[in-house]
Amino acid sequence: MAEYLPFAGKNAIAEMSVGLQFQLPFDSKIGDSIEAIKKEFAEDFPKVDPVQQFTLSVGTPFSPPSLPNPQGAVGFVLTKLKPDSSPARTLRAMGNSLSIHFMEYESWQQTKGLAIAYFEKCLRLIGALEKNGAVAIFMRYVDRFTFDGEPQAANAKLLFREGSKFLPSVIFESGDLWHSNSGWYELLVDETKTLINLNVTSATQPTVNITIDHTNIYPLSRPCNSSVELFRGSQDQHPLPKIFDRQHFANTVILKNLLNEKMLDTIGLK
Amino acid sequence: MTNTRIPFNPGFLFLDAGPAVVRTFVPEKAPFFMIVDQNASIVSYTIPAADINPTKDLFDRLKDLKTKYSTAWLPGSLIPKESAFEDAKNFVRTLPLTQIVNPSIHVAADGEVTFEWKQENFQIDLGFYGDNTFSYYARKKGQEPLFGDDIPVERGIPKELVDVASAI
Repeated sequence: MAEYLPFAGKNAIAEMSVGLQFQLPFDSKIGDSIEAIKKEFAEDFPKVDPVQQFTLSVGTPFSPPSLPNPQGAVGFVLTKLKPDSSPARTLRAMGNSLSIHFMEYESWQQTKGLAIAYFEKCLRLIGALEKNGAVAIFMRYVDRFTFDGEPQAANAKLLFREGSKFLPSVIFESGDLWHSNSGWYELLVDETKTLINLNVTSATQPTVNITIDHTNIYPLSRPCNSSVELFRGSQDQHPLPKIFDRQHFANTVILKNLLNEKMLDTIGLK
Repeated sequence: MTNTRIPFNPGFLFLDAGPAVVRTFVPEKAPFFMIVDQNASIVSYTIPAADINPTKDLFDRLKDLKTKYSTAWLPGSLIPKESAFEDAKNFVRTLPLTQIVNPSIHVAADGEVTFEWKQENFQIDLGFYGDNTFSYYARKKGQEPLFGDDIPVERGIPKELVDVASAI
């Protein structure tokens, strides 16, 4: 019987990422820390690449001149590779954020422990917080399901709970090609409104894949300039591990509302 | 004529085009892609949907084998039972395929559907006859061999085998 299969055996998570957003983009000073970063993370992330930035301006000659390109690296990408040379895990400083991407997800407890340890080490080495406060924390889950059957037999009912509040009913009559992009705010911890983006897509390329892409962005009540406050919390700021736990829980709630009982059982969420 | 490879370092490009902020990010071994009006920090590394789904890959292999071995292919060979393929599929659903690579799958002359993980320093052989159970034998350099018989498929792969197979 035709059915949807989770991405990897008992696991549907194709990628899970967590990150910190800062007030300002990293500047070329971050390049000075790359050697120390490389040394500190040599075992966990053997591959190190500096990130460069280029700016192109297009438009009329009356456009204001673009900003000069910064010299040297303005970030880095550290990568642990799988045996097939695809990334298993990356730690990335780019733009105004520091993020960790897990393409080999084992469990939340393991992932959370690693993420916190990496952030602590990395922030200590790049010294970003003191001059450039953290303003938001994000978590993203990308779950993927592949249809095992002829594309014309694909139907959202085979994967999702009919009547789920997160999906429009029309997709259940739309075969293998549809999408639903939505966003809203929820109270995640206390009265802080957290932005949720939920994009669910079904496409045939050439097999039918459904991707559930859920991002949760928690804004800090004020820019955080201290790692002690970030990781352990303060009177008006929840600690990072607690926020991560709530964001992870929010993802579980969404999946439990989206997926049918059979799939919840398969991926161990029932 | 020689081929010239242009090395790309990861980088991103800000295209200053009025109100639409266009950002281009070039991760190594991934196609060049462009993001419009989106925060580059949340750009995913996820492989494109068209890429292989490890679960589907194994299911397709089992389907091919089932077709290929639907008749006796050697004198005295046995056709694998339908339930042997079903057990193998149910077993795949228990595998942590983000931690371990896909096994190669074969059919033995006695009708057993077998999974094999083989690397320089270890080998795991695991098989299904279609009675809702599986058996395995594993050896790793410098360690005592591991083996198990008549294990219910619903229990899934033993942790000790995951440890062996994920240490590639």
